[in-house]
Amino acid sequence: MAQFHQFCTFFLDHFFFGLEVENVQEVIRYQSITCVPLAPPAVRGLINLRSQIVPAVDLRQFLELDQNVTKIPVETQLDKNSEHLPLNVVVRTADEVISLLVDDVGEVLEISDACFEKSPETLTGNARQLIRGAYKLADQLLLILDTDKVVELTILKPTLRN
Amino acid sequence: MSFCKSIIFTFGLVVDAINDTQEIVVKPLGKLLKETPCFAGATILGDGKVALILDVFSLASRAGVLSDEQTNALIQQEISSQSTIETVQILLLFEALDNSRMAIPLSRVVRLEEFPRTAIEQVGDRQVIQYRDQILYLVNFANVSFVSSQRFSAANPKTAVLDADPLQVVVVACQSGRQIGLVVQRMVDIVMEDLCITGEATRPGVQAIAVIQGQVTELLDIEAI
Repeated sequence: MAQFHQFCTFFLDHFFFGLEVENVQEVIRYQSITCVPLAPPAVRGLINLRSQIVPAVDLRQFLELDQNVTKIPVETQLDKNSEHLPLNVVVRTADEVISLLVDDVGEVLEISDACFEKSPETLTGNARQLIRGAYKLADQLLLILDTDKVVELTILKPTLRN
Repeated sequence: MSFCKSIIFTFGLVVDAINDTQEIVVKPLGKLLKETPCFAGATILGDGKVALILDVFSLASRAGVLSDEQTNALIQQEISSQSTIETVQILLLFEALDNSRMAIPLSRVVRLEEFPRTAIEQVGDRQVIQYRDQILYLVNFANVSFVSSQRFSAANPKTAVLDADPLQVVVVACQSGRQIGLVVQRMVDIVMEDLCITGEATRPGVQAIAVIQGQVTELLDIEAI
């Protein structure tokens, strides 16, 4: 008997990612970000989540996607309703709450474990660690992100700078 | 130019503009930014923006304005303070309106605010205040009704003096993300305490009782309030 799991899905570039719903605290629209000089490059800054200070992590850094797409706007040009601003997917990791900056969010999908396949051995680099595997959907693959690894890699690679 | 003074030396920081001085609650930066130098923490300003708190010592040592001797002394100091932080809890001590001593974990404190007593509004049996586009429920522990005391203030000159003082409020975050305001008589101190002497709670809203700085103090259970 195959088990079903629920996933919160989101888009980054043309990729389709999923996170277990249990780990996702909430999804909120763009919040103004306070940049932190000297911070690990993947940390875009800090946001105020109802009086809790939460770091906002840019996944593009890790996945080596085109950096120019999510240019965080200067505060003066800020239009909070703009569709081009990243959304915050707030997730609970082993140690703390972090926010992942994503292009768009999709539906919550309930998928059978039977559709799951681990990442192939030939996958290398950060993706190897960050992506636990993929679920085969009718027309595309849903990549499952490991949020604890996101925290781990951010701390481990503080010197990685472009 | 603003001047930062430490025990050992004075140096200047070149800045673009000076905004204001403010009392703030410093929050830790979390695991992701633990290794980031020069910052001691962050805080949320009155307008909701996040501001970074500079660590003056690490700034000085990175800028090379410290001698080797001073740097070593600072490192030693840091190591000893780090080892104590792990075992103790940082608490905000305050006095409630009924003059009892209370404490809450500093990590739960959002801001310390002062409100004029006229800002308080009565909703049903609760007193609320408009705060940053939200309605903040006030908790005062002593069942003192500010609204009624205001009405009597004209007749009683003694309370009128009291009413002129602004209300000290500790804004606290609940687990659910809601905020409540604890009305206090005065802030006492911020202490790092290894809580070992604990007694049973005596009233609802109190988690335990401990001796802090030689005085019996109630530790509040924020979720229960």
